Amino acid sequence: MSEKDQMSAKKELAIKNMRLAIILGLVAIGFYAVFIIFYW
Amino acid sequence: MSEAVLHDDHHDHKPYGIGRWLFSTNHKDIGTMYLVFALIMFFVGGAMSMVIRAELFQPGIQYVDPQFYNSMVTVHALVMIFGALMPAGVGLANWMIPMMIGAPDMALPRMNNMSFWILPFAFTLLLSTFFMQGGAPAGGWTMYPPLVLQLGDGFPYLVFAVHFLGISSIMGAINIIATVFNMRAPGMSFMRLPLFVWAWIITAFLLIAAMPVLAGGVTMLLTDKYFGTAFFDAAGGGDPVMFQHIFWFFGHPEVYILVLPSFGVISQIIPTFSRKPLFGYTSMVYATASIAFLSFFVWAHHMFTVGMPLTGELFFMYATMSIAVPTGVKIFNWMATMWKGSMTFETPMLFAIGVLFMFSIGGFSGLMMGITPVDFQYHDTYFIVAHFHYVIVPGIIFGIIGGIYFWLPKWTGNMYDEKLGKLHFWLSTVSVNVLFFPMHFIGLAGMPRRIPDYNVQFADWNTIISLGGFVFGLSQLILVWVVIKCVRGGEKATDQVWEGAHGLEWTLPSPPPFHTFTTPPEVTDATAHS
Ligand code: HEM
Ligand SMILES: [Cu+2]
Repeated sequence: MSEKDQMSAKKELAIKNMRLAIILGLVAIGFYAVFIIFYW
Repeated sequence: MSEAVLHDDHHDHKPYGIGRWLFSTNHKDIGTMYLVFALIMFFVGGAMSMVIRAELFQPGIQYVDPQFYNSMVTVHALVMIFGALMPAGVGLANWMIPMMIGAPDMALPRMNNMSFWILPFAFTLLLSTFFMQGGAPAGGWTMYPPLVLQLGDGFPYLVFAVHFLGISSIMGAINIIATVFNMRAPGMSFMRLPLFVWAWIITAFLLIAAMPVLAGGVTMLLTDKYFGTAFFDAAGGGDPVMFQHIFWFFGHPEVYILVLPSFGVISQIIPTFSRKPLFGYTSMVYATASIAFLSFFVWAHHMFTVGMPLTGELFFMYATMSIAVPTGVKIFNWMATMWKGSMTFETPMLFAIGVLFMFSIGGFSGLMMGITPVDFQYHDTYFIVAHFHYVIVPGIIFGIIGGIYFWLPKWTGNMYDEKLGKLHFWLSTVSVNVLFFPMHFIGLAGMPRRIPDYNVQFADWNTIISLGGFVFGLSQLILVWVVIKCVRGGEKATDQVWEGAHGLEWTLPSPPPFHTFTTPPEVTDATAHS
């Protein structure tokens, strides 16, 4: 694989990781917020 | 993921000095920091338990005033659960998961650094409350209102410490999920993952579901105290029992968050020293997932005595009983793994077998307390203290210690001192039973938990319990000695370390280089664990 492909594959993986992290983070924050609002 | 993606050889140098640790993004260094932090907190929490046992050595008030005694009980639990057990589990995950799945590091290394460094910060907040007006938290680790609201200046520190601990463990959990989902080496399918990794994925989902609930609960405590809300204040239309529901909706999954990594560790150890593959791999995965799922439907077994409707009591009784089924599957699978294996009994195996026997003792007392009418007698007595210490100390801590002995030669490149390891195991095992078994008796006889003084009828057993406690506490110094000795030298370990060890982590040199699997390995049936 060329240097360029390597870089883009690396970037793709980083994006994939970040996307999953953000989704899971939002799920956690969502639980927290919905929970408090629910009992308001 | 192609082979070349992770190939990266300009990163071979190790950073040095304090910066190596402060700014670390390396899963091995961060794993080490988690483990060292956990060990320190184990001794901080342990020192508090020594104060408790000294005070309870005889009836009457001897050494500390009751308020401080209550702080000891409360902070001991918080430190042990959030400072020792959880970080130790995450430390093992950090070290082992990338090496087990053939990944170069955790998926989000900078977040990994942050998850760790939040911990010392949060514990500084928590422990600083000892020096404040009104003292440290003293209303129990369960933080029930209205009692907890009587805490003085330390109260917001308690709440924010819990928030930070929650944030740290959620970030850790996200990192583990992202790592296992996105970073597995080619060929490492989910059903080829070592059970330790499986245990951790499931734990990570539990963390993401449970920690926000705790954070929400303590936020509501905070607003009740300072911002005029009345979530838990009956005078304002709230309900203090509601907090108990919220707390235990977090609290019961939390106990499985603590125990599943330990189960994962012994699922690695038992096959290794039985020289057989794990019996019932698939059923093990499903049993672990079922335990995790069911753990969200049993919370009210902690509050049978609050006056729930009968249907509620029945539901939570049966739900609690049902958890015994997948747990039984796991116990039987471990036993079947040992069956007709050519077993040897090195220290990690001894600790793993200790988990099997003594976790089961705690599991059985759990079942007893799960029977609603019976729990009316046991609730808030020493019987429950006996129960959760059996599941936590020989069930969870022994698993973690077993993992430390198991992987120490891999981490350091040196074998630990087997004689000292065995001494540590036997002293711990005898003393832990002297410490916790008689608590069943005094509990059944009616001694309440969380009190600094007691009726003279309980005096003899309490003296024996305290003696067991002191021996157990001192025995743990052997672990420190073994670890230091092993880090400094000793017989060189081979790459495989243990004759029966299989899996990617054992193909790496001992100690593994700073960066591993920068080129992902190809995993086949032959090189996979199962
Ligand atoms: C996974 C390992 C386990 C851990 C770490 C654990 C931990 C705990 C803890 C910390 C408490 C006390 C909470 C408090 O009031 O401060 C507790 C209580 C209880 N546990 Fe467990 N437990 C475990 C397994 C089980 C099992 C398997 C069962 C039943 C099948 C069970 C049933 C109970 C019940 C019914 C209580 C409430 C007792 C009462 O308040 O009267 N536990 N457990
Ligand atoms: Cu429970």
